[in-house]
Amino acid sequence: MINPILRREAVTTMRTWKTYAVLVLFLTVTALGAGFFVYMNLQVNYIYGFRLEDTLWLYVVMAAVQMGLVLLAVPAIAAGSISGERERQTLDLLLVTKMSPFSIVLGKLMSSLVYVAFLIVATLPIFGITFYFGGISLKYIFGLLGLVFLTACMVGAVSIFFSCFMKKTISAIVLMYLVIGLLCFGTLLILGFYIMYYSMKGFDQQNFPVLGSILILIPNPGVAFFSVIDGQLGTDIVTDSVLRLLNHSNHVLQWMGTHIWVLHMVFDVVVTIIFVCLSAHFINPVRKHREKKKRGEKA
Amino acid sequence: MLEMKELVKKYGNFTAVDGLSLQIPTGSVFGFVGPNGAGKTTTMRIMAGLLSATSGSILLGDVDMTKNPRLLRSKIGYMPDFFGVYDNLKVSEYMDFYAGTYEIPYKERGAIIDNLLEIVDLTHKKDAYVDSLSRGMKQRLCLARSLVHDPELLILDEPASGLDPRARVEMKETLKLLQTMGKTVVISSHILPELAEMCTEVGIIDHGKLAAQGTVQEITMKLTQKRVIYVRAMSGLEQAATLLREHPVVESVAENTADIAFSFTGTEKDLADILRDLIMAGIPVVAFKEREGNLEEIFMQVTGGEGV
Repeated sequence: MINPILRREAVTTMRTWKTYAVLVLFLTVTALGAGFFVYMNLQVNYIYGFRLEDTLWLYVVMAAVQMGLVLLAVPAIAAGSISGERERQTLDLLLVTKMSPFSIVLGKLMSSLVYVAFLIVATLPIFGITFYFGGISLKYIFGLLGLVFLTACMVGAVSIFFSCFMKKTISAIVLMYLVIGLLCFGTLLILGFYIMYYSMKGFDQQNFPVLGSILILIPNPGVAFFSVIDGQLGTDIVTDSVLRLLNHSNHVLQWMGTHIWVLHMVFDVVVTIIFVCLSAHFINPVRKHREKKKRGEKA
Repeated sequence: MLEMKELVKKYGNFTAVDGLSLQIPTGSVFGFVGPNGAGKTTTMRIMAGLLSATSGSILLGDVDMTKNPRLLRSKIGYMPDFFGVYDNLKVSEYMDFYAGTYEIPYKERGAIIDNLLEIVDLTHKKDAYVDSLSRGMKQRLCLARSLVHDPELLILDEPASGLDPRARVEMKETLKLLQTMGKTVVISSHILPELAEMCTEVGIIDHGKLAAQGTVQEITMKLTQKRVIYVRAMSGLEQAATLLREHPVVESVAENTADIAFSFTGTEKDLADILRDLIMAGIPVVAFKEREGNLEEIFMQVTGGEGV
């Protein structure tokens, strides 16, 4: 049986004009961007000849748009899932049903992801332009899709968790954007301090504790994204510019540095499971009060 | 049988429900009455599994509902005092959604939904959007929703609040139907006097405690200790008033233009004697009627005059 929340939200989402407005806007922007890129490329080709790398960069831009969509759209949808029910005064009606808190949270997570997946699938024909020119390994395409999907799960799960606590949806959305900012830019800042600290202590490229750098960057979805792109295009954006791992003697660290996207996917799975369970725990009204009671008794 | 044993709910130092114990027989309609903040909604939310009790238990049959939340949810239908509906969802889809949350197979849903919409008289609105319904219709739809899994016990918190008189009558009719279907219904309402005739029992709750429980008549007797009787006669009202004043069990007599009201503290036999004396005195009595217990008055008396 399909999760009833997913079923209901699929129906209601497809009935609002906003859904189609966002779809049209997203497709228009993507198509215009891709069209402009191809047009410019053809103009340049006319003068300098066809260059395969350029179509690969179109692919990168398109993939970045998808990742950006996940980081921006998923919180806007998921952060209202529980607080929205509370604001609408429908949460109690849901909690008295036979649905377990876990399946309620899972239904909410799936509903949030379905809409974003719908937008991504809608852009696939435009995405297909890049495949026409070839040059991209299937392994990395699935890698990228997996990364985008699991990042969406992680962002959705944490957004729902905030939605359980915040009285207002807007507060949950703002808080989630702050967390995304922290993951994308805060980790880079921390890495900067980390590198500065060890450089001042006299560590150079040969003996620098790279493991710490890798661990700091694992939660960063942006770094994970460029890590996949590195693999696909054979560039060294993450390994060289950020980690300075090229020619590092330790093979394990080499592997970790070149596969941060894999580690990030593991991070996404772990965080998703933890936050789905935490959300289910906190929306369970009976358990919540039992805890309060215990605390009261101890006091 | 629904049985509450020493139910307590505390919020810090504040005790919302204070050792509430009561028994509600299967198939009965139990009315909860009490001033705002008396603990009615808290008790109902504990019964519905939306709050945990600090101590005490609620037994439905042999099952302790506080320890079996999943079983509890399959046996209870709950309608809160305030609730919302989803936008862009039709009435039939709304019902289908809740049928899904109670794990009712797809095949069975159509018949169940049609039947319930008929009970709450919303069949003609089956394809209407729920957010376009009037408040009264939404209340009835919510009632149908709470019945979708055929629960043994229905908990209705203020089902008639905010309804116009017509919608109240409709709600009352639906509740009568539920009574005939053999459901155990626990209902709280500010218009309980209006619903009193439907309630097999009433519980007056105040400051989290049960102040009185029983049928409306029992409570009236217990709390007022006196009965008020109206007498209407074709003539001779003055003579009847004099006769009544001389009667030893009659406390007071009030003469109105068309009838007499007297209060008395005697037994049923005393009442029969009074009627016989009036007729023997040649007074053409056309009506001799006990005034129905007024729950609102009793309620005010029990709760020390705090507003409903």
